[in-house]
Amino acid sequence: MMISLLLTCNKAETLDSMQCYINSPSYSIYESLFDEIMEENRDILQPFAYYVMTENQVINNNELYEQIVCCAITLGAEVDRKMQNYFEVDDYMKGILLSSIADNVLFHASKELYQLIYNDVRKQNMMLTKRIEPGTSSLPITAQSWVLESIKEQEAVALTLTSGYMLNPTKSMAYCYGAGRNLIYTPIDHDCSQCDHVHCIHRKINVTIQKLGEVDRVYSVKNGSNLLTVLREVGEPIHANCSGNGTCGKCKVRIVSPKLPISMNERQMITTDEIEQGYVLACYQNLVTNIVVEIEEQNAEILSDFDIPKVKENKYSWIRIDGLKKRPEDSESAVDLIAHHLGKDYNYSLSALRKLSNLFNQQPFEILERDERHVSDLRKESGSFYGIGIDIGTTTLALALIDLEHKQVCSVYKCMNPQKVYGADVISRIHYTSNHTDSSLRDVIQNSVLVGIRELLDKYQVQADDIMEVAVVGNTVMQYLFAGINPCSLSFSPFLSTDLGQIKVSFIELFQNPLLTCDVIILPGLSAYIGADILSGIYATELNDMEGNYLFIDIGTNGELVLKAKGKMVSAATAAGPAFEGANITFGMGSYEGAIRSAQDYEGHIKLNVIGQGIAKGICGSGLIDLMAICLNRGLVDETGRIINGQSIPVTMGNEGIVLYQSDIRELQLAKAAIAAGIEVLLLECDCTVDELDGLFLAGGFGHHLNMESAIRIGLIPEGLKNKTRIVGNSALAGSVRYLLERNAEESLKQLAHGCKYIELSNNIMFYDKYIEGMNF
Amino acid sequence: MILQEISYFFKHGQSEKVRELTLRGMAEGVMPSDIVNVLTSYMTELGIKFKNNEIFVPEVLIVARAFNAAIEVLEPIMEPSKVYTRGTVIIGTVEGDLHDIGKNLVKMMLKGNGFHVVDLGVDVKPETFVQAVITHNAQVLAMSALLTTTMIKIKETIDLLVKRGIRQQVYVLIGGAPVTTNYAKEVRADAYARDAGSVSELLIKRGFSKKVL
Repeated sequence: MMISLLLTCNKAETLDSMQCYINSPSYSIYESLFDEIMEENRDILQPFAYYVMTENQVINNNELYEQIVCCAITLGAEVDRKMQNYFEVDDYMKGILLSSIADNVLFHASKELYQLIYNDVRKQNMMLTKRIEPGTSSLPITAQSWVLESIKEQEAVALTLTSGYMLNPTKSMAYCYGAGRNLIYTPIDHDCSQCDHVHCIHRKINVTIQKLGEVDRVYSVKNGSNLLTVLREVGEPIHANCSGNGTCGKCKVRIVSPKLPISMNERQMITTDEIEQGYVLACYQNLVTNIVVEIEEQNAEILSDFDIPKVKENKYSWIRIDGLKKRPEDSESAVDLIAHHLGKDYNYSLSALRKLSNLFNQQPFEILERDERHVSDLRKESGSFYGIGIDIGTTTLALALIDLEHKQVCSVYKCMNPQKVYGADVISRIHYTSNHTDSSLRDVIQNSVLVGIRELLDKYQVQADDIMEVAVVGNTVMQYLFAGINPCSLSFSPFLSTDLGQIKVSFIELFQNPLLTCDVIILPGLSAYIGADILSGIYATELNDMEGNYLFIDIGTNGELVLKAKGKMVSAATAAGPAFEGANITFGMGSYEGAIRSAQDYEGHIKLNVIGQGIAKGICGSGLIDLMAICLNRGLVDETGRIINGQSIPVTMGNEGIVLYQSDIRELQLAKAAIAAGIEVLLLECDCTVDELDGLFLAGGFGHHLNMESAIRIGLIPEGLKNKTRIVGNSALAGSVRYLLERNAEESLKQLAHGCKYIELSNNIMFYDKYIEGMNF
Repeated sequence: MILQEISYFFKHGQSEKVRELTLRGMAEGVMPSDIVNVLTSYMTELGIKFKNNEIFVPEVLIVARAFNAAIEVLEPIMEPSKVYTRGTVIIGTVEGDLHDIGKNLVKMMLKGNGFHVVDLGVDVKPETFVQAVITHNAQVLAMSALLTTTMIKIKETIDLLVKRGIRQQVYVLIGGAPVTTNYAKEVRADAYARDAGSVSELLIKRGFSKKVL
């Protein structure tokens, strides 16, 4: 039976296979020629296939092969003729391009055929071998004629062989599989490692990914592909804090087989034991052989708790209208009639207008007005309506579905920011963006948000139509990457931003996806480094409206500080570095399972609190601060940060135990000094002292587990704030929720941004003095 | 200067511009051979860059499109012998072999470098090759084979040249995936070309120089 397969051709793959690289100045010419040729030749590129099952006559010593499946795929003779035509008129580019397109179509068709055959063979309780191609493995090229003849015995195939065993028409393939009941499962169809053409431009290698409790997955990738790039592309949650620069040592994975050679650099970042077990750094490995790699799932603690902010005036309210009475003699529209009735003009969303158009005259209905200006929805009966608040953190992503009528959190979705495989901090992600033209970073975050929204809607059974708004906060870089705005200029002085105002965009335009039809509001920020997340945090805590003097700190990669004192509000971002997020610390890690979250000196022995209660694998920020405080209290480290004896302090027992190195302590000193100095500069700016402060708001996941005593001991936070601290959780998310609930939130945020002065610390002399002063313990 | 403009757009593969400028050049009385010289000298340069892995095939192909755009304008005006002054090359893929991409690339490079190329296509019998050499009084015979199973036809063709007594009159150049320098020696070919870029350079080195016009 002749099988008609799908005509699939991947443009990027095809161009790449003929060495049309994306960085070539002529790439746009290649692309347009590709489109032109596809358009012109679609009819003659249709792949057809045949397969028959027959007795094994060619493969020696293999009693496991009960049957041989002989396959042939061809695009027919027209493609050959067309290529010939191009060459005859000396259009070599088009000729070669068409040839490459045909190859790619064949490649995709053969993958589709494999699935068909696989299912067929499974129905007969048999398994399938890898693809066996005459002339490329143990099977001699002469077997080509046997394969073809076997098919021809049952099918009318217009394929012939030349005297040199070449298929005619040329854009054809003939190969076979072994099938048998006692064969073991192989998740691979085509395996290039069996082929002798080592320099083949199409050569692929197979990467098999093993995960506990999951079926192995196999990906075919280009020979020479970088392992980190591969893992990123297939969406594996691997850590790559330095974005593949080869410096952080966090993209450690175990290669089950074979044993890969290890570079000198890798040796410095992985222990001998680990090397013995097969660990490598993914970013160092360019693959030239099939591998099996094991990925360990990591459970992260993601902070998403927040209190629903107090709302002074509701953003939305229902107004009942007892039907519209239109007189034939006047020319008023329905909207005019409503305006007349309510004594006020309103803007309508398109969906509200659509619903209005479906109402009959005189029928009573309810309109949902927002900010006393807009009509967001229109229904026969008032009912529940919802909003979604989103916090895009550098490390984590949290979405909250809010019942706007009852001011309740329905459900929260949280996950790791999938961009982490492109770097742990904003700078390394910007670095990736500036070196790549693809939109990977936008795509992965938008996809995660879409997944989150779908899950929230499903879980709470909310109709997409009933979502009125989506409010998004994040630091400026996260927001730009999410919106597809190039963040590069944020990474170097003078830290130029493209826009800091609020961006309102339709969901469909932003996501190119019609899941929701409402608007997405990307909330405004204050500066390149005091983003919407901080502004939103202040909005949530109502810092600006409070009597007295208050400090707001969000410690992450950047320590963002806002001080409201003596009638002023000032803010600054300190480049604390990612030490508190576990980067740059030898045994540092994020708040994942296995991280030491806190430590206590308990009558002479140290009690560790490990996330997940298992074996300690590393130290996260709050644990690091506790351990540092203990070291200082025990006199293991002097006030300059020097380890009294030797170069390291063991934290856990054993040869491969966790150790705090001198270099780690230095990193911590730099980080804490930056924050301490930032606080001092802000206090001076407002002419305020620590004693005059009425309270400290500690935001973010880090603040959650921070032991204030330890933080004060190491000099991160000024003494005197110990009993005045309030942990506010994910205040950024809370702020986005307040935006959804509060009347005139847009205006309030604008004023808040306007009323908060930003102080650039990177060129502030006073900051440097305080920074140096704050370095000691 | 129009030649400089042609050269500029030629190097950027802008075939429409090159066609337009060539037509304008003709109208303004520029010598066609001057234009051909501009084109061929850059094609030679390109061949070397390609051989040295400085550029990739598609970049050569894009320029070749522009080359053809100019030649289409020039050919009706110039005698072929003035466009292609380096000599005649017979080219083809051997019997039993249908691969023609590599052969076509070689053909393109040769034409771009000022050779007159007679393409016999694919699946070419030894007899056909030999006849073509005689008919066109060719200086070079270039054969390509992509399979180990078809490579033997190269030897058969050369043996036939010997038998007819014309082996010395023609320079035999061979190429293709399974072909090597050693194989070239074995079958008494004159040279093996590793890729399309090295073919012209190789021939020019062997004395196939430009005739003075």
